[in-house]
Amino acid sequence: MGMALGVVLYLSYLFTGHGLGASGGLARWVTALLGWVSPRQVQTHSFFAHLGAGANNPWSHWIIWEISGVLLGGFLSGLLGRRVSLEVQRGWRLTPGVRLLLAVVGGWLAGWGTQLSRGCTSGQALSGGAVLSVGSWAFMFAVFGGAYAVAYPVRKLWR
Amino acid sequence: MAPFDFSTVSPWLDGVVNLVIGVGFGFVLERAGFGSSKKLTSQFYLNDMSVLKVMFTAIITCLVLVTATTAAGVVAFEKLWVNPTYLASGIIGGFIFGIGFVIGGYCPGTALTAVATLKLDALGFIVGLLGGILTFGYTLPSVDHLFNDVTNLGRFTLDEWLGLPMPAITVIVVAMALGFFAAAEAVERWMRRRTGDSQVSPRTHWPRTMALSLVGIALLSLVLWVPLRPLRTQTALAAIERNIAQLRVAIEPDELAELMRDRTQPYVVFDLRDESEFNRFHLLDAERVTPDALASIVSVPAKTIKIMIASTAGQAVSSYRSLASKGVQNIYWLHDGMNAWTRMLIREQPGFMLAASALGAAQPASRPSAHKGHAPSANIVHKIVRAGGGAAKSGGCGG
Repeated sequence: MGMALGVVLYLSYLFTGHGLGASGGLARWVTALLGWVSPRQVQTHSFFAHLGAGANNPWSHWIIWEISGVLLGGFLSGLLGRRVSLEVQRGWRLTPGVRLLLAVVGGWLAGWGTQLSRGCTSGQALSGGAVLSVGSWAFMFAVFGGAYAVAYPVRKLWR
Repeated sequence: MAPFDFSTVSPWLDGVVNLVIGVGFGFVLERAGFGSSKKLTSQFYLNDMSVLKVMFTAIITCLVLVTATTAAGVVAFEKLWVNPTYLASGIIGGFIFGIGFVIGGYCPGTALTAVATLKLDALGFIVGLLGGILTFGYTLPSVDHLFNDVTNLGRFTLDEWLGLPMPAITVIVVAMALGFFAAAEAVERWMRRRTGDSQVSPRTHWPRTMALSLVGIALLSLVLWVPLRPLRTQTALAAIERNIAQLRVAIEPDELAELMRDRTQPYVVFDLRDESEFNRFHLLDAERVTPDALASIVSVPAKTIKIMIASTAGQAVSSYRSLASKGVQNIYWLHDGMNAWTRMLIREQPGFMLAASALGAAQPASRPSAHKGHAPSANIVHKIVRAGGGAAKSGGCGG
């Protein structure tokens, strides 16, 4: 599977000039949602303005297409492997409610982190790593560092 | 020469290409088992190192393909978007991200595939991600000193850092990854013996033939790197001549005016005209250089857009050719120079005349704002390629 993923990544570089991504698309979702609630907020905060004010339309970016494809591809593979099922994946000690709360908390930290580091495991570590970006390799080791640092203290979530 | 840019053909075609690539990405992630937070977090409890193995296999597979096709002159590596290096914010952000990964059980891409197979915890993770991104948008002013600090090294690759040819780095990275795989499988075997854990998935052995072929291609690229240099140079020179012949890098004044108004894109303007012409009237912030001294400008960052204003077309072409063949990126010239700029002003303000005295940049016409509001922005022919892939594109995640 790793090799197939590498080939997909290579085809992305070949046919688009850039790698894969995920969190950049989510940042555009956030900007678009915020724009519906309050266009003023988007215009007055440089982070959102950069993604979706004036001539920048948060929906018109390649990554929006790409993450829509990720959803579709994940669904197709799940369908073929009969893995499409409504469930809450969790460690055996946790109730679904606690697991959901922790998923939101973890997502929150990860979401904040991706924006500081300008990318996630897809757009920064995987894509940048494959084209030898120094920063992407530093990011990748930092991710594993952060994860292994807390894995033991929070082991009861999963083990 | 690759990379292809479908956005210049049709934005819809480019969208569909990205959609198809996304389908492949999502399919492979789900298929690898990464639609499950239990599988993903097993990586951090050493029971199942699939995350590390799949990720590094993907990286070295892509890297070897990129290296081989770059060596053969098929892919122009400098045209591929490379994530800019920001060491401090990348490392601190990565560390926080890693903590969120263990607590939440996913990363953004895998959470999307898991949502597609109806895993509710992944939906929770996505909700959290959106909240975290929203929070970042509001907290950016307080972390801006970290977000844009001195460790911003721009496009900076391992081969540049270590001063080695790209294929040598590829060989090293592949060897390192294979070492990681061996270590990861040893750890897995040890964990299996120690815990007798039934959660440990049966080992899908990393195929030796695949490993050997990647090493083989990487070594071959290294050996052929120097012999193939003339071929790469020839291909690059042909691309430069195409750019000249098809006026791909000769921008119109409207696009320049738009660039000057855009505060997000770094650019420099080099004025190659005589001192007297320059003193009479030049663009705001334009820097006067003689065509001979232009070649020595290497300190300008690669991703900064460089616009030349020449007195004749011949001067523009020869300056472009000499800089581009030295590997300088993102160079353009103003088509028909200051004549075109003046024509644009006359078109928008009939009766416009330049002041007769030498005012330099004090001429109101030096500023793009002189005709702000009149520019028919819909009709601008965009030739400038923004940092990365196609026009106005940026790379992956960070946006």
